[in-house]
Amino acid sequence: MGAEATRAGIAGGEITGGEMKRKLAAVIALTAVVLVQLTIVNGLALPGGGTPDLVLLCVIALGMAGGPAVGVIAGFCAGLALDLAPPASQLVGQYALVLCLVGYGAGRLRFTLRQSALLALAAAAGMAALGEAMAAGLALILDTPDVSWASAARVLPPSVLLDIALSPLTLFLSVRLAVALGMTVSPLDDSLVLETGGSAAPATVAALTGEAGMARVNGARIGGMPRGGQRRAAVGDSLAAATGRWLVGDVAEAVPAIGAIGWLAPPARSRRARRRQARLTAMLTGASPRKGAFWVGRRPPGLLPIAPLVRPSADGLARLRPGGAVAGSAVAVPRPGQTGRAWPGRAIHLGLADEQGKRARSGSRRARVTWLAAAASGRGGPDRFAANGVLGRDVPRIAFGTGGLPGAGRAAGRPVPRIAFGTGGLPGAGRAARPVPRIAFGTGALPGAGRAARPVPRIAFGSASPGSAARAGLAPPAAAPEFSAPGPLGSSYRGIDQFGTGYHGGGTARSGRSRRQPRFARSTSGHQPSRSRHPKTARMSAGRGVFRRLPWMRRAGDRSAVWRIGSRRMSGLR
Amino acid sequence: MRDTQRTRLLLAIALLAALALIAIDYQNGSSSVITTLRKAAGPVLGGAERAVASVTKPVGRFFGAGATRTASASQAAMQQQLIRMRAELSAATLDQAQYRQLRRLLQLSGRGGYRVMAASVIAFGQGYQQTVTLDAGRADGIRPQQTVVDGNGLVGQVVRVGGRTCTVLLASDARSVVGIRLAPGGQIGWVTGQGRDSSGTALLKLQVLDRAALKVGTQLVSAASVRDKPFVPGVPVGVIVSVRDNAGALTGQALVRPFAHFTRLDVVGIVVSPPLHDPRYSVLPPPPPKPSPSSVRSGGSRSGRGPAGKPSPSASAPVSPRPGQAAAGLSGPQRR
Repeated sequence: MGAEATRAGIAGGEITGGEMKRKLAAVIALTAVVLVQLTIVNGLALPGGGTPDLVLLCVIALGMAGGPAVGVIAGFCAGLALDLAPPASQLVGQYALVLCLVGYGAGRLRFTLRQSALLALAAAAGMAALGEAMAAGLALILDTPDVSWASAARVLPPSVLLDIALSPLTLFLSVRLAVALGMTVSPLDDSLVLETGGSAAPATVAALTGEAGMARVNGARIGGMPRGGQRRAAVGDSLAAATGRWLVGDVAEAVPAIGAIGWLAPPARSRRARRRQARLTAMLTGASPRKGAFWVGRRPPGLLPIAPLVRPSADGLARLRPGGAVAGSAVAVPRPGQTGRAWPGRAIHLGLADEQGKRARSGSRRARVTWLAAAASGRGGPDRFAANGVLGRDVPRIAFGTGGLPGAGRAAGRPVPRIAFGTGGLPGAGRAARPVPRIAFGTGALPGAGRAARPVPRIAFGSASPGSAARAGLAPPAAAPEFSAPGPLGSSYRGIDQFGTGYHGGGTARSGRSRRQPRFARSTSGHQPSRSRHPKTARMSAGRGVFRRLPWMRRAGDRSAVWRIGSRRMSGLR
Repeated sequence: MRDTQRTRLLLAIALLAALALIAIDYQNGSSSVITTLRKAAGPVLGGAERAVASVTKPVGRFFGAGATRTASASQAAMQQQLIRMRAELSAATLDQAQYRQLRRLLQLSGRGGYRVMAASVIAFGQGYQQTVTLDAGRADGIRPQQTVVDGNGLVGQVVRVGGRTCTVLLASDARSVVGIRLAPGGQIGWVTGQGRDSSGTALLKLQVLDRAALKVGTQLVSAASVRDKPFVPGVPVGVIVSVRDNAGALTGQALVRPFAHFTRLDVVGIVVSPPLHDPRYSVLPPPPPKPSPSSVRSGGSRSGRGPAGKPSPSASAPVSPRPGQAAAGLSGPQRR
């Protein structure tokens, strides 16, 4: 996977190479594991009488690396192969049933990969034990005479122990293989950041300054479009693995904002923290799954958009960004030992996204398109991307994507809050004659811009109040981004995350703030029909998909009995 | 990919397919769907297993053989040399081990007058099933319900035959039932497997109607089956290691240690044509492993009770394909 393939991928706008390689690798791995299991492993006379089930472990690892669908397919195929391969004498379908369930469960447990290595290993071990128990239990249920309670009780514990002992190895191999082959990331999927358990922070400053150990990761694979240039630091991978992040080989200390997610992140203990992490990861990968989420910080250099290049139309730019080398950018916290080194500027990517939930799919995709388009037009094409954030030549940018993305289905006449930052010599920023409220912000000709021989990143909303930089606790105060937003805009910023460069929260530009409250099952406003079955009832969420209709799948958030008694329907019966 | 409706649909489809297959197989094991699937998958996977086994067998044998490990990790060069020499030694011992197994197999088959077809184990059953795959199939003249022996004793029976592979149900499987005859007296009983064992030596469960005949150290041979399918007579099965004393049971029960090592199967023989005469107890190993009545020696001890119950299979000699060769007494087994 070289740069040629990457460019082809960019040009073609497709993600085929990585996908195919991943599928091929999965097929090869499963076949090899089935054969090795049957020819070698089952014949081993291990102490205790148990044998490890490598096929089960491989299915678990594939599921955790690829998701539920991958787990189901891999489990079913591997199980069917085990059922049909010559020495098999059990009922056909026994292992297929067990393994597809296990693969699905492992896929559902994939979120553990982004939380902590121990949690992921525990999940894999638990699924392995569950799979062994299910295989034995199914054989006992089916009353096949080759399994008795006695033999199951004899063989199950050592087998489970062996499986648990081997599960880290398989998980490690599969995750590393998946990372090496480049996992696709679609904004609708769990992001790659989540999938590989790694951060999206790839080759950052440290890699290019020669400290490979700090750097570079799998970030080159993000977006399904691996960049050959970023892959060359294989040394960094081994060093990274040696530094302890062995499961994914992911090192991202240099990027504190990125550390809010992935392996580095502490487990989100509260719902707010979980939401924030989800927002961060989503924004890092270009998605915008929730309304009102935006992200301020540097775009990870490894993060490439998937969408093909599209030239923006004259007024088609949704996210306004100051073109010049000025307006705001955050500065990374120098690592220890990096004092005195001139730090290259890194771009800020400030996105305000406000999209209707129903249109989250198209909207987020559109957001990425415009993002790339803006970047391409403003900075001379995608070739400059590699330099972003690392070479110092790139432009600090603020991208404010409001929800009113062009063509997102919004009514044309609806006034969309929109913020224009900087001056932008932004081509096609849509300056002219749009009936959109707009706030023009001071550009980089800010009074301290020349201090560090390069534009100090600064965001000044209206007037600058330097004390606000202390919130972030950034190490070099001279280079700290200053956020000063008095007035209505300032009140909307809810805080700076503890990692400094990332700034997130809801904005004024987000029109749907009230929707972040618990949703109501039916609209409670005046147009509610009087015969509605559902009175005003707070629900956190409803069931999804086909399970929504099943009455026993109702959750605790449904209507309570109190409401039911007092509802109009009951009163009508009285 | 996260968990979406499509994923759940996929899971539902997979579950339904698996359950349907299980139901079909449970209802009728020889239904066309199952047999078609097995016939389609058997040659492919069996061939792959053959290929993999041909590559990995020496490796596995190497790791099995080279057990001694020196602790002196000082000089890398010496270690390299040691590894090389050990590899050569392992190859030599490997051949020796195989040769020894084969020779024992030939001796056993020669004593019993069986015509055996040598094959080697290429795959082992998954999970709780005690089955193995041999690298001989229909093309080699293997048919279902043939007896499989190794140099020590009874291994199992052929249950399914593919083109180049066959599946053997080991005697240690819980589904396997082998009719036996106690060595000196000739009492009739049967032996069932107990599945996988934690100790690795899978003991078999023996049930004999005449419980007075059960003594520790008594050896068993296989009794003749009807038309010698699935078991030919006279194959050593095992030796009684403990007698279970349950007074209320109809049958006397005992635990039998099989002569064959089911966890270390390598070269086995498939009896392609049964002996013309029942070898009786002549194939049993001469020294009994446990101190036992000295009359276990071999064949001639037909005193006391004669062939109890069963007619001698020599009277109902099966139609062997080439009786002339089989009748030639100690004819060597046919090698491929």
